[in-house]
Amino acid sequence: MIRACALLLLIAGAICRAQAPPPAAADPSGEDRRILVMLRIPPAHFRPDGGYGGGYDAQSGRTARHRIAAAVAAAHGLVVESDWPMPSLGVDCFLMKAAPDQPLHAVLDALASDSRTAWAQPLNKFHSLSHNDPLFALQPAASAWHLAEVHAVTTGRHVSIAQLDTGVELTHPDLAGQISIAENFVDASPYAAEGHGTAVAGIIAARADNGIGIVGIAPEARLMALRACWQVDAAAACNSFTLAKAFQFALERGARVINLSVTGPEDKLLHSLLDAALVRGVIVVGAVDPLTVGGGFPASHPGVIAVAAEGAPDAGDPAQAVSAPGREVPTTLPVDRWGFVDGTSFAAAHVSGLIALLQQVAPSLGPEQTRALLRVASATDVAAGRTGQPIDVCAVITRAAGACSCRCHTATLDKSILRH
Amino acid sequence: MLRWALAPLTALVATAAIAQVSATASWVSDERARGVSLSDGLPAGQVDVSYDHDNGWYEGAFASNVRFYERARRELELIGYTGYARRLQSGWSVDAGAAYSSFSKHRDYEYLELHAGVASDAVSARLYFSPNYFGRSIHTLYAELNGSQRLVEQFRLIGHAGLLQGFEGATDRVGGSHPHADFLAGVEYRAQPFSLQVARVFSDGASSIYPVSANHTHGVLTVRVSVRF
Repeated sequence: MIRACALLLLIAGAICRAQAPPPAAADPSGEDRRILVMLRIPPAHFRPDGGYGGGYDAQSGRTARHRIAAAVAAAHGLVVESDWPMPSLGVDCFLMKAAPDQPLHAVLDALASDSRTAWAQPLNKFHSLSHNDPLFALQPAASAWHLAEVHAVTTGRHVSIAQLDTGVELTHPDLAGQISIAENFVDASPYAAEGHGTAVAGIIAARADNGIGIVGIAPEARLMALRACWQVDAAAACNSFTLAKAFQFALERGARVINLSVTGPEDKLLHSLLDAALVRGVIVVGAVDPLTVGGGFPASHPGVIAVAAEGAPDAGDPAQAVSAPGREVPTTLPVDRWGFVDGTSFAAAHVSGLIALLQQVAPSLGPEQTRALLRVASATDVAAGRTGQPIDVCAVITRAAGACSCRCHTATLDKSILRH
Repeated sequence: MLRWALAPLTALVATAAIAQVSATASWVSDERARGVSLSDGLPAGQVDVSYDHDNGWYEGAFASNVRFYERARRELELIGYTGYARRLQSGWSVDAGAAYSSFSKHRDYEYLELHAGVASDAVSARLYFSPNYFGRSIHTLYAELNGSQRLVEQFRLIGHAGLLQGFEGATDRVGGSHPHADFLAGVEYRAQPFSLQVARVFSDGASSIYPVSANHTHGVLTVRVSVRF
């Protein structure tokens, strides 16, 4: 049956390839002139008005911060376009636009010495790490991870995963009912179905045993489809502001795993949000950019589980990267299709799903323990100096569950490796 | 003592340039403090002005009209408060400070209360100690737990539970030997800068501590409308 499905996928993939060229160099949104300015949100404290707002009330004083933002903007020749409270960091993030003749570095320097601001930074651009190759043969990743056997032990039930990506086709026959929350953080337009996000969602949480398509790595996880990126041709493009808004939302809604199949320059706002997530025990997965030394940001963040694609060049991999299937991956695509995708974006999606499986059987596993577990399970070749080795999923699940999951003879052997 | 209550305001005028100033004006259908009506069941208007400094210190002033019992005249309650709050890396924040409450007609009801607590995104817990709660020469401890949970978009569930215990000077007639509990459960709608709160308040009255008429409440509906500046 699996082979029959694979054959169908191969045919479908040949007909409807997901085109994913490199990200466009142009900046259609005009965000080159935009910057982010952070104003501090005071910590929660006693107020005698009996409003019973619970704990942290980011709305309190928001009007006052809008006033301050307007004054800061006026003083530096900026226009306030939008804002988003980030209570996890204790800042209110304002998106401001500079005049065409203003050098951005000069504006940022001036804002850095303005005592009303916590900090200011460029609006960095991020993009997905994917491309499709219609000539590659189908190679289902599920078989490499012994997914059917692993699913007998864990399916990621009730584990909340947030994917910060382009929009997901919520009505796709392999995804319908799998998405717990869909929100748009890009603009005010209705939530849109797009290729990259739909492909990532399918790998993480496509329905199992429905007689069609593929099986997600964690088919019973609760997936938050947070649209923080938009489609540029067939790739995803995002910026610091859209990603940060979605990240804050994911933290507020209690995501256990956050999937970031995007890359870009080091970003202070996102770096701070990653720190906040890790302190809360949230596990963040980032796709390695094989073309950037160190893997690119956010994969280069020391607390992020960096994921490279198996078999891909590892020149840019961070030393701590793990690897997962990222080539010739069958997955869901918009307009009720399935097709093949290729890139570390999709390797990261595999690992996010795997972490959901781990969280079901070992919910107390934190970011550091999870990373250590994944690393040790691929340590055989790391010892030989080769990074980005495949994860022995059976060993990982067996160790986390404390019981045999699949290929127990291998798992037992790996457990002995783990002890050393 | 009114001057004492206003001191934070006057002291802060000079430093307002580096503080974050926020204000809230509210109308409440019944001014309930720890479950007990301080407005004799009548509506009240309230204003709260708060100054938050970058270094964590805060000061503020709160005013509300109150009426302790049916034949009493309406008067003004004024609370001046100050303290220090700090956000921890874990996302929790800690807070400690003091508040001084005074009343425009019943000057003998004025009292000092110290507070300390913690808050996270969704919950807060705070402990209060007063050496002369409502001028009654008894020591009181009040513990409260507040929580909120977003339902959809702009709607939140809100909840509160509190326990007031009189000791040191408390007698059967004043303060009592048993703790007094109060609860609140409701829904809040927020549309910046407005908010609307509808809640039911439950209380065993604690009338032997508060200078109010018997005030046992087995679920009174209260409405609060606020606008933030």
